[in-house]
Amino acid sequence: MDAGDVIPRRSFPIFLGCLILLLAVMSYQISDPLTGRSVFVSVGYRLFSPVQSVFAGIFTAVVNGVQNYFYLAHTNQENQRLLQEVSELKVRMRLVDQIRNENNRLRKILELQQRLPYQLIAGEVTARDAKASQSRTLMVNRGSHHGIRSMMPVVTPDGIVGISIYVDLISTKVLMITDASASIGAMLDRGRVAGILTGDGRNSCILKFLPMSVQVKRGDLVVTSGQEGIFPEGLAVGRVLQEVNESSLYRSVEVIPFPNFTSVHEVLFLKQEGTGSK
Amino acid sequence: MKPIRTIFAIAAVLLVQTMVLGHFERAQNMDLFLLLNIYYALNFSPIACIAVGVTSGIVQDAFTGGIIGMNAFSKTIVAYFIAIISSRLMIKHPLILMLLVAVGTAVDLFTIHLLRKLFGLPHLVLSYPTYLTAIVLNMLVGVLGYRITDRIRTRMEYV
Repeated sequence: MDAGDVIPRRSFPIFLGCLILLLAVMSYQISDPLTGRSVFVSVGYRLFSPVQSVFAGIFTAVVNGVQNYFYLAHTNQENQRLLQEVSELKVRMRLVDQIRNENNRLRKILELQQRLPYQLIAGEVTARDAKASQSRTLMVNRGSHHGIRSMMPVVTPDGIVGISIYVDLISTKVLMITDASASIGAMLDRGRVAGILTGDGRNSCILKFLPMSVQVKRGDLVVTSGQEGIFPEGLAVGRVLQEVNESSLYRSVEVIPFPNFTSVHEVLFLKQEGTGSK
Repeated sequence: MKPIRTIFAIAAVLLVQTMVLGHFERAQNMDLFLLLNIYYALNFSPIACIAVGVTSGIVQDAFTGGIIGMNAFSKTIVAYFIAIISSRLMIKHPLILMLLVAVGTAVDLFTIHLLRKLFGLPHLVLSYPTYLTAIVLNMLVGVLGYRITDRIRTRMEYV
């Protein structure tokens, strides 16, 4: 114990007071029906997100500095290796050109670009959730300054990631689709049977409210249905893993999302063109 | 307890938790904020623990998807009761420390569940392996971390 510590008996009223105050704070956040967003959340978020961004910057700079040092120390060997790699890459580039042409052809066929009236804003993941067992969120280094608004769809080339929930000037908190409180409209690509996709709080999602008559197979593709008005229809979500017995009235299946959320480094915000926010 | 040192400790825990542990599937279940609180509970007064519990909990809440105050609430409870126990008993044996960390982790998770239920938030469908991973990782890393920190503190005080 430190000198001058208060005896435990005196600390109990303070402890009780703190708990009551925290309960009041939590109650206030829950019972605020007007804005849908709490003052406490905004203050806490605004206070610490710049600190987070600064530390993220310093962290990246230190890592880059160390990497550059080691790189320079082995420049000669690296040069030789790179020359070999260049010749390999030339061959690979020809292959990539072929794939690119094929991709363009497929894209034209699908007319995906024309179908999505969205502007893409790329962002880098700077941090992950401070308590993964409680919620699933990501911090991205793009904010209102870059045109991000609340409730914007967030995707990767693999599939959807989540929705922006708290937007600061230079950073955004993204609620992942695997979070227990996240739910969006989704459907089975085969048969176009729609349901509600909710996160299970771990690394997968549950597609609920499918009719009992529908046949679901392991590996079936799940896409967004666009019913919730945030995600456009037809974006890839994931694949069906197994059936979950939740109710005898409807069918539920476990869905494994396409993006690997522990290794997502870059995400794309879908901004509807011509509007500030959705 | 030195406030500046405590703020640095909270900042360091935040950085490691959000920027390092988040990349690892199993390690992300570890709760460094809880370990920090238990460390303070073992070494400082209950009042100091309440202050650290509330502060670190709110910082954790700001970077978590839930509502602000949940982690502050659970951390304060865990830290306070461990501080009360440690003010009466000498807790130095690694096995007792492990037990304290395990109970602390369980109480923390249980309190969060209780609060989510109280405020009508969606139920967390976490599996027992997830809980077990959190408890075991917290136990091992906690006890090891406390040992190292104690040695560093002793050496610094000696110097």
